[in-house]
Formats: sequence, structure tokens, C-alpha cells
Amino acid sequence: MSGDESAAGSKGTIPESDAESVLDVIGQMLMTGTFDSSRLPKDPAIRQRLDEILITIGSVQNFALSLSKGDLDSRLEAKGISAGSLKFLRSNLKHLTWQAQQIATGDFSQRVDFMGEFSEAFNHMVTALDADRAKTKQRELELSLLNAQLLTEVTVRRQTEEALVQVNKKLNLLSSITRHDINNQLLALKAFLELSKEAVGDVALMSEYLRKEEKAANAIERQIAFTKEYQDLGVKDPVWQNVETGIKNALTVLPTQDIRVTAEVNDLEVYADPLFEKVFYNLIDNALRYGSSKMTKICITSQESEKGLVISIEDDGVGISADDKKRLFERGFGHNTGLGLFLSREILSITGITITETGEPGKGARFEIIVPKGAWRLYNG
Amino acid sequence: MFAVNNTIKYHFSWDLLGDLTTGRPNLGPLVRLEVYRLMMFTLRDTLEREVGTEASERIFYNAGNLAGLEFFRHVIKGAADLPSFVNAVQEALKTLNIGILRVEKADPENGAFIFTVSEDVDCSGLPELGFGVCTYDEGFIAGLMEGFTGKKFRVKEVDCWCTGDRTCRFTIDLI
Repeated sequence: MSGDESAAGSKGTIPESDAESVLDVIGQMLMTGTFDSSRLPKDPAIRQRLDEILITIGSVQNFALSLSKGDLDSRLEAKGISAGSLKFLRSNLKHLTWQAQQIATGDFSQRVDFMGEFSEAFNHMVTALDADRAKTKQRELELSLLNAQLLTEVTVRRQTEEALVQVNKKLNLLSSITRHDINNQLLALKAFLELSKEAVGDVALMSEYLRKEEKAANAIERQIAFTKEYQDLGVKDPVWQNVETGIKNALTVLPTQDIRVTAEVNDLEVYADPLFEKVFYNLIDNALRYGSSKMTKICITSQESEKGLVISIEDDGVGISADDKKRLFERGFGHNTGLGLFLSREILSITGITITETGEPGKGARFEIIVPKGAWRLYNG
Repeated sequence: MFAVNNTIKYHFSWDLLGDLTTGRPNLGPLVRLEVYRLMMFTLRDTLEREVGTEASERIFYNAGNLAGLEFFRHVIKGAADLPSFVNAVQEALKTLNIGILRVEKADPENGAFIFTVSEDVDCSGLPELGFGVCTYDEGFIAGLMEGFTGKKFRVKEVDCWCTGDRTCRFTIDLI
């Protein structure tokens, strides 16, 4: 008796009449997944043991079929190497599913070990995906920077276009007003010339007419000189300008004598028409002319406020009377040409900068230049 | 009558693993797996005879739990998130030839996980016994999870080499 026969014998020997049918049923089950029940053995004990084997074969086959359809959640109660091997396969598939989910969330550290060529292919794929993602991120960063640069360029271009529109309007207005003023003076001059013809012989009257004719001619001369002043307005695009440099340039041509001029505007730059430094020239010139002997100093400072950056030009002279304040920036108002403050306001307004006088009469003049956000910056390069 | 002594003779300390470089300059740190299993299964045999099956299983689970906690503190040394934790444990188990850890399921929100360990140090290659033997591994995984989350987990081996499977499968549930 062989060892196998002994083992079978301990659990009951299969009668010869049933042995062939047992083999047939198991063979049918393995090959087709079903069997001919009429072929089942008659011995109840043998039949029970065969049932257990058939159930195990059936459950393993169903589990394998489920796996082949991608169902990783079906249960397999059967034990043993056939069932165990399939569950091992299912385990690996589930783990790969989990790893794929992790990769989908951006975890590219996932690697597969001990699965032969698949490990190599999978790991190569993840490495390549990681590299692609890094490239994409780098590209996104570059595009983002490019976008920021474009936005800046678009903003500057828009500012330039807006300034150009302003300049055109102002040049038209200034030309129109100046032409009108010159015409008025010419009209007056011609009228006095006509009157002069009739006053030949009357020395006193002729002298009076000549004085008025000279006055009209001087006015025309000033108007023509003014056109030279503003002919450059807006000719060049607005640019970023260092405020301190503008003030220093203005001071080199102004007779400050013993007046102390201080400027605390370090690193400040303003986006304005290239004539911007003429504003400081006009304001300091204005203070030197009208501050009186009482004036000892001119202070230029800057401070950020809700309205924008406020650049103050303040002196301790006699200040500006309430009546004069109302017409201070009007063209022709003033004791000299009457054009300096008017032109200053026009230069500033090209890039949206405003100017007002806020000093206290008797205590000094104070001009406030308000630079809107985006039109000033601190240069630290 | 005897006095109750709260101190124990073999209170565990990582130092008990010893300085292997100095201690084994010629033989090195490696021992054949059969030697480990010889100690493991003779210890199980003796414990079961001395204190019974249930108590001996509990002792092995608790010992594994302590090992898992210490292993987390001294080898894994913390992890920022679950994928990092899994990666670190996988790498450590692979480097030390303990087994190949894989994740079948991870549901951190509900504290439910299924891990598998292939080529497990305790059971791979053992005869089919009809029951799982990786009680120490159960406790070890529970200790690792406790180290990582600060929470207690119940770990149960549902499939084992000894039940005919080719990998050991553990369900891990928050207590």
C-alpha cells in the first residue's frame, strides 16, 4: 500500500465503482466550471468530500473570473495555494491601484518592487511623469513671469496712451488760448497805431500811445516765448524721473543766495512728462521771487497718504493771500509772466498728478503735489 | 508573602539591541532566518504550554506592539503624511529583509486599512497549517500605526502563508 492510499484510507476508501465518476466530475468541473450531477458517487461520505472540493474549485474559478473583469473586491473564503495565489495577485493589483491613486494626487515617490519587468516599466513611467510635471511647472512659472511682464508693459503703454491724449488736448487748448491772446494784443497794438497816426503833433498823447504799444508788443513777445516753453510738452513719452535729481538741476540755475533749500526725497521716482523738473524750477523760483526777505528756507519732503504720494514744497516766507490762492494756477495770473504755475499744473496733469497750494497766509507758501498710486516708486537699484 | 516589585528585569530599551559593530566585528549583524524562527516557534511552544494558547497569543501580540512602537521611534522617526509613512515603512522593511509591505486599502478618514506583507519573516515558506501564525506581526503593525497616528488600532491577520495564501493580509481598524 502506497503512502497516498494510506492517506485516503484514513478518510475512507473510494469504492471502485465511484472512483471513475469522481475523476470525471472533477475533470468536468476543472475544464468547464460545471459537471453532470448524475455522475456523482453514491457513497454519502465520498459525495460530501467531493462536494467540498467542487465548492472550492467553483469559488476559485469565480474569483479568477471576477479578477479578470477588474473586480478587486469580490470575496474568496477558500484556503489553499490555488486560492492563495489568486488572492496574492489580487493583493498586488489592489496595491497598484492604491499607488496609482497616490500618483494621481501628486505623490511621484511611488515605486513598485519585486514584480519583474512590470516594476521596471511602472517605475520608469512614474519617473517620466515626475519629470514632465517638473517641466510643466517650470513652464507655468515662465509663463507666469512673462504674463507679469506683459501686464507691466500693457500698463505702461496704457499710461503713455492716456498721457498722449492729455497732451494733445492741452496743446490744442494752449495753442488756441495763446493765439487768442496774441490776437487781442495785436488788435490793441493796431488800434493804438491808428490812434498814434491821429495824434501826430501831440507829444504827450503820442508818448502815452507809444507806451501802450510797447506794452502790447512786450505781451506778444511773452506769449511767443511761452509757446517755446510748452512746445515740448508731451513731445516725448512720460518717463520715470528721479525727484532729487530734478530738484538739484533746478537749483543749479536759480539764485538761492542765503536761502537754505532741503530735500528729503531719497530714491523717489515719479512717472511724469520729461518737463517734470521744470515744475520744481517754477515752484522754487516762485518762492524766491515772492517769499520776501522774511524767507529763510525752502523744504521739500514726501509722504505717502490715502490719496497717493504727497510731495510738499514749503517755505517760511510771507505766504499767499486768500484772494491770490483762488487764481494762483490761472494762466497770466501773477506779477511776472503769470505762466509758471499754470504750465506746472499742465505738465503734472499729463500723468494724473495734481497740485494745490495749502500754505497759511503770513506764515509761508506750501505747494502739495499729489502723485497717484502707480505713478511713483522708490528706486533702490 | 512577597513584596510587589514594579521594576522588571528586561525592561525594553533600544540599547538592548547592542553595538553590533563592536560586538560582532567578524560575523556582522546578520543571522540566518531559520535561527530567528527557531527562537520564535520554540518560544511559542513553551509559552503556550506554560500559560495557554490565548495568553501566549496575547503576549506575542503585545510584544509585537512594543516592537512596532520602538521601531517607529528609532527607525521610521516620524512621517508627515500617510504616503510618506507607507514609503518609509516599505523601505525599512525591505532594507532589513523583514518583508514586502503593500497597501490594499487606505481609508484614513474612517481609520480602516488593509496591508499585506509578502515574504514575511515569520511565516513565508511554512507548512500549511490551516490558521494564521503572524500574531507578532499583528502587534508590530498596530505599534507602527500607533506611533504614526498616536491612536490605538486593532490588527487582525485574515490570510497567511500558513492558510495557503502567498501573502499575509492584515485588516487594521481604529479602536
